[in-house]
Amino acid sequence: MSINIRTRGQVRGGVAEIKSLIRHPMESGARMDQSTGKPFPMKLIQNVDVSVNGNRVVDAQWSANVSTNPYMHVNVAANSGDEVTINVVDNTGDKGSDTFTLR
Amino acid sequence: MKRRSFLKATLATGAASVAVSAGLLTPSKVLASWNKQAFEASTVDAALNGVFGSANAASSDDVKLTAPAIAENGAVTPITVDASGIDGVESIVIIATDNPNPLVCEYKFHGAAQGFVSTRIRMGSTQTVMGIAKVGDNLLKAEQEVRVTIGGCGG
Repeated sequence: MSINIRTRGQVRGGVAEIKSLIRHPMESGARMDQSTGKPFPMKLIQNVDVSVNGNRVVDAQWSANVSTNPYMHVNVAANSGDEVTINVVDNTGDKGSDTFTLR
Repeated sequence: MKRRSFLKATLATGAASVAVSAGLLTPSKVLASWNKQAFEASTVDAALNGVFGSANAASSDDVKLTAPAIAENGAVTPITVDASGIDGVESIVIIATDNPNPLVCEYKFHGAAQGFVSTRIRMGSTQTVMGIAKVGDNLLKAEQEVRVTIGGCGG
């Protein structure tokens, strides 16, 4: 199943503010399901990267301390017309990707 | 598909799988890497050692940490670490000092990226949040206490 990502980018004075909202449970694997007494299985985005025009500019590793439905805002020197791509992978191998052109 | 590109593609994937089976590239590295040791560390020093190889961070006014003084809902605490006033920030790490595994996230910056991160984190209780920026061989930190009120009474 692919992970849903919504991203917005705005260029201000040569700097692109890239803001992403990712739909994901970020389940740590430690939280108990009261009805069954077993933990919810771990499902965690561990790797995130951001590229501009195919060049990787940010790569991140996340833990379960990142909230459910993660929000990420990074700033990159870029111009309108540049193409931004966000990629995420979780521990079960599910991937998500979003590509857009800066205005 | 053109015969030539088909051959090229099969050769390339063939070579990659040979490399994987020969142990040259571990499968986890091919897909992604995750610093398990640092993320599973239970103390702040162990987490920092796992990420940077050092836990020696100095407080700096150039690193700005923005966090609420009181977070009514610890599950979504907005945290911003801004070190964009410094040139050559290699990475930023966020630490929630009293969480069972304090390391929250590590961002590495390349090329055109600025030393800036804003995200939302989980916090189990009232505690100090740290933002640490790696600039060359130096670790610069900013920290702030965030009060978490559980129960939603706002008190």
